[in-house]
This record gives sequence, C-alpha cells and structure tokens, in this order.
Amino acid sequence: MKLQLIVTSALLLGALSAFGGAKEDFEAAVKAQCGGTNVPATGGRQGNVMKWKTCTSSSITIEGCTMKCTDASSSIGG
Amino acid sequence: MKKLLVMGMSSLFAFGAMAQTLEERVEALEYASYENYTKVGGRIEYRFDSYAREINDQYAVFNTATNATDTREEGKAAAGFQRLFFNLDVESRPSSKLSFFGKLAMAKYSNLFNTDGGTSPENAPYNDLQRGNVASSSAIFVERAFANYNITKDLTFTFGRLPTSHGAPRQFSSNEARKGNYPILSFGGSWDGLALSKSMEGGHAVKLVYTPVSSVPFKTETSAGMSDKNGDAVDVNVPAYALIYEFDRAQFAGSRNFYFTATYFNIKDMPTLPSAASDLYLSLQRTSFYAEFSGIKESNFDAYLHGVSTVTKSDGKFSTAGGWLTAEDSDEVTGQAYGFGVKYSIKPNIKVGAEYFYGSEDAFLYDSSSQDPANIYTTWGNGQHIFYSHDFDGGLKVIVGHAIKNSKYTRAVIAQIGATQEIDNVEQNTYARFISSF
Repeated sequence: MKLQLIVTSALLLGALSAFGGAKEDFEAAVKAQCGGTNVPATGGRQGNVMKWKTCTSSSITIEGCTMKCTDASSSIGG
Repeated sequence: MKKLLVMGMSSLFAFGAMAQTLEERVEALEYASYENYTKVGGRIEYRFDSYAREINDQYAVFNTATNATDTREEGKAAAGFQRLFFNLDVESRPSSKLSFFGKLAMAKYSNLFNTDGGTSPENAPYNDLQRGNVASSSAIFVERAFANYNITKDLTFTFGRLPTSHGAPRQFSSNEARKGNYPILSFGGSWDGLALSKSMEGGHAVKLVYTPVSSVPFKTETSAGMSDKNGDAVDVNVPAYALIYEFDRAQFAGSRNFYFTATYFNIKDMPTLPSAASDLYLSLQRTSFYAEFSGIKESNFDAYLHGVSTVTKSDGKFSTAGGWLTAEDSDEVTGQAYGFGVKYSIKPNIKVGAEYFYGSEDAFLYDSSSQDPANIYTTWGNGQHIFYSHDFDGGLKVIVGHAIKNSKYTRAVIAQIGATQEIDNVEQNTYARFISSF
C-alpha cells in the first residue's frame, strides 16, 4: 500500500510537471509584460494559462494585463 | 458482528479497487501527456471583396501566350469576389532538441463553376463540386513545413519550407499574432531552404538563411541541363542568402512590446525563365527593416514602421520586353519603399487602424502570397488602408476595411520586367473577412 502511494504520487508529479512548461512560460510573460501586475496562473481549459497559450489575436488582455500572443510556426529557429 | 466484518471487507475491496483505478488513471494521464507531443490547429476564413480599377493612362502589358505586347486601355472595371481560405497547422516537439511546424493551405473561390484551365477532370466545368473525390492528383498544398534542431541551447539548425510568407505587417491589420517573422519587404512568399540561428541574451538573435533557386530541366535536357537563348548553360541551383537580425523585448523603447528585424538578402545571376526567348539574369540586393511598437507608453496605440532599399542589376533580356526594371541589356537601378501603420484599441477586442505605403519608381517589390486584390505593399506610387477588427467572444473575428492603391509606374511583364512606363492607375478594394482559429 505504501509502495502504491509512492508510485501514485510520483506519477502524479510527473503528470503535473508536463503542465509546468506552459505555466512557467505564462509566469515569465506576466513578469516581462505586465509591469508588476500580478496575474494568477490559473489552470484548466478556461484558465489564464490556456487562455494565453491558445490566443490567436495580436494580444490578449487578462485581468487588466495585456500580453502579446505568439504563433509558434512563425519563426525560423523556434 | 458478522455484518460488520462483511461491511469492513467490502470497504477494503472497494478502496483497493478505487486505488487501483486511481493508479491506472494517473498512469494513463502520464502516457497521454507523452503521446500528445503533436498539436493540430488551424484557421478558416471566408472573405468578401469588392474591387474596382480605374486606368487613366493606357499602358503596355506583355502577353506570354502570343509573345507580343497588348495594350491595357483606359477605363474602369469592377468585380466582386468571395473566397475561402483554410489552413491546417501541425506543431510537434518529439524531443527536447527537435521541433516541427507544418501548415497545409487551401485558397479558393466560392463554388467556382467555370473551368479553370487544363485538361484533367479536376479542371472541368463545375469541378469545384468534386475536388478531392474524382481521381486526378494527390495535390495538397504545403505552405510551411520546417524542422528546428537545437545543436546547442542557443544554436539552431532549420530546414524545410520556411515561414517566410504572410510576414509583417500583414498581421497588423488582421489583428493576429505574427505569422512570419520575415517581413514582406525582405521575403514576399514561401521560400525553401536551410538556416542557422543564434539566439543571445536580451532578446537578440542572428540568422543566416540559405534559399537556393532552382531551374530544373524537366523535359529532354536532363543530361545537358537548361540553356538560355545564347546557348549558354544555366546552373540548376543558384544560391540566395539572407542575413537576419532580430530583437524582441517587452517594456522597451517606450512600448509594452517592441520588435525589430533587419534583413540583408542577396541573390546573384538568377536565370529568368531560361529558354530560346530569354537570356535574362537578375542580381538583387534588398536591405530591409521592420519595427513594431505595441502598447506605446502603456496606451492603447500600436504602431509599426518598415522600409527597404533595393539594388537591382539586370543582364540580358526576357523576349522583347527587356530586363528587370529596365529596357536595357545591362543595367543597375536602385529604389526605396517605406510604410507605416497605427492601430488603436477601442476595447481589448475592438481595434481600428490605418496604414500608408510608398514605393519609388525602381524599387524591387513583390508579395506573392498576398490575398489582397489591392495590395498596398507592392505599390509603385502610394497606398492607403483603413481597417476595423472585432473579436467576438468565443473565437470569431470580423475585419472590414478599405484599401486604395495609386500606381504611378509599371513594366510590361509582372510589373517588373521591361521599360518603365508612367501610369495612373487607381485601385480600390472594400472587404469583409470572417475568421476563426481553432
């Protein structure tokens, strides 16, 4: 049972770390572009992270902060 | 007591079953995240255009079918178009070193019922109702397909069909993210090639792009290669290079987001449709820049500036028409073009803006991937454009606008080959676009 708990926790952590990249990108964008305004990195399909990650306009305004949207397929060199 | 024992055992089994289910569920989630390294998205657009052209001074155009010059008479003409554009985008990151991007593209008129030329079943009248269902070809148009391989953390090798179409400032009036970081004044179409990119601290990047141009002997000249009208052999591949500098930083130059790119493009002795009618070669240098300021002084204003200086060296002639931007056998001309745009956000989802463009007589301009009937970015003269963009909640974008293009110069072949002719053309286009990205 203890082993099962450890394995489950490790798997859960692994799954969460897969989401970590998007969240870290969002937090970096907030820090660089929001001029000190704190915008929480809320999860879920309708959360702030995915709102920003999936935006296709030139910019998106989330909780008073306007951030640039990017098109990943637009750049040589990634 | 017996009842209590049974209940206890049932609870234990139930818990065991739940724990097993949870473990399986987490495991499935983990593997699903590993599998989903490929994302598919896209964009669909339905577009209405009302286009009018007024020719105030007649001019000559070269007819490649008859190999003779026709006259474009003075007068007015107008047409309305309805078109559909669709892109399917694929993004994949199979490893920490490799990323891939692809864009399949469709561009068509709405229910085209007349024949569009050719003899295949797909080109028959009413063909548009059967495309993709009648045995004809395996055509799928690939606008982009390129891979980035990170040699080191800062050095990336890229190859494929590069993201050089729909570049800046096309996204400015569409109110979309930049579709290509390589502005229209540096690359105006889809180019294949290889690139080496070096990114540096502080948002700087330098890129060297190699985009060779091919002249392939498709018919009987495989062993001998192609030759021009003098019988001189033509190189199958002619190298073209671009050196690009990019700078992208938030909270810089008085704006929320600042972006700058400068490009030097060079191609030498590019054969122009080598044949018994042509010994024309092009050597071209284009030096261009694009600067974009978003959220100027934390206001609702965005703006951009762009410009290009071109040196066009032409040797030989295409048929009887002449050379690149000249009627002479050998010539070198320089030209410039510049433009700017301003956009204001009335609300985060509603924007209005205007653009201006000027192109000098001998500027080398092209924008092959344009979807605008009156494309101001290829104007030898001046062009203006106003637009209104509205993002509706949930993913529908509507853009309406009006463009005026006042052309003062042209040439007989694709507006860039032959003697320069002074003209007075006024083109106007009013459009409405419905766009959804998914």
